[in-house]
Amino acid sequence: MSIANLIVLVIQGMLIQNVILTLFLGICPFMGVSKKSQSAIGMGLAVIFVMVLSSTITFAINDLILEPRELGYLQTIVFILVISGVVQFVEMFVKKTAPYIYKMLGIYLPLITTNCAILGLALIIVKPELEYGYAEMLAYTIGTALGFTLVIYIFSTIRERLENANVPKAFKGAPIALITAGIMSIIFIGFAGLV
Amino acid sequence: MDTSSIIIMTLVVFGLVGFYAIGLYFNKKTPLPEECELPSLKCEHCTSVTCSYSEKNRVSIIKKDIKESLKNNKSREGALNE
Repeated sequence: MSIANLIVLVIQGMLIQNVILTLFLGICPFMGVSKKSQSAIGMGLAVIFVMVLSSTITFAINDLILEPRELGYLQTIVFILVISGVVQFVEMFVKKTAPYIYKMLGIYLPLITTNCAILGLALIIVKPELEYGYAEMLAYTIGTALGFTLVIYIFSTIRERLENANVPKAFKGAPIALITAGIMSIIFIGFAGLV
Repeated sequence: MDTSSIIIMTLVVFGLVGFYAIGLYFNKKTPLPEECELPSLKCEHCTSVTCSYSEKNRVSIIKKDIKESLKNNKSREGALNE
């Protein structure tokens, strides 16, 4: 596989098949952690870190153990356990070695355990019809994680501006945020013909 | 399904449960870094009520600590009076 194809996969994961606005996964942190841009960046960084690590491990487990033994029906439970375990070890490692990063990501790391975007991606990349190898899987995962961070950051900056905007009382808060998310989703569907 | 697949299935599931349990245990044992602000201060964005960082859970822990320290103080006072 050429580098051009890998770049296409990154763009595909980031814009065309954006995990939040096109696949509608990870809506909970998208709505919950997007009130401030600082917290959105923190969540985005934590997701990039865990998504790349857990997807690599789950892909390897599926490739080396589950698929050859025809144990594909165990994918969901195995992937959930891997993600939960990886989050625990990453949190411990960051606590011990990089207090500065822990300060930045600390609270967002445990929240990732319940982020369905991570599990969703782990299940998507092992689909047999995609026939992804390790390089393609990594490119698509990095693109997806970057897409998650990009969208949550853009959404948080819009919400910060909406706080001071002259919004009708009935639409203040969650309603206008949902309308904004809907418009953003329509915009991202427009990327479908990009590649 | 052959016997080897069942054994591997069991090993994989229990191995991963063990992996998670060990991770959780060591993570709980690892102390927070110095000068690290209380995570609950950032909980305003999260709606989880079961998380150990949440304000409600933290309040119950603080109440427990206060009760224990009050008990200790009373026992100390009792010992001094004697």
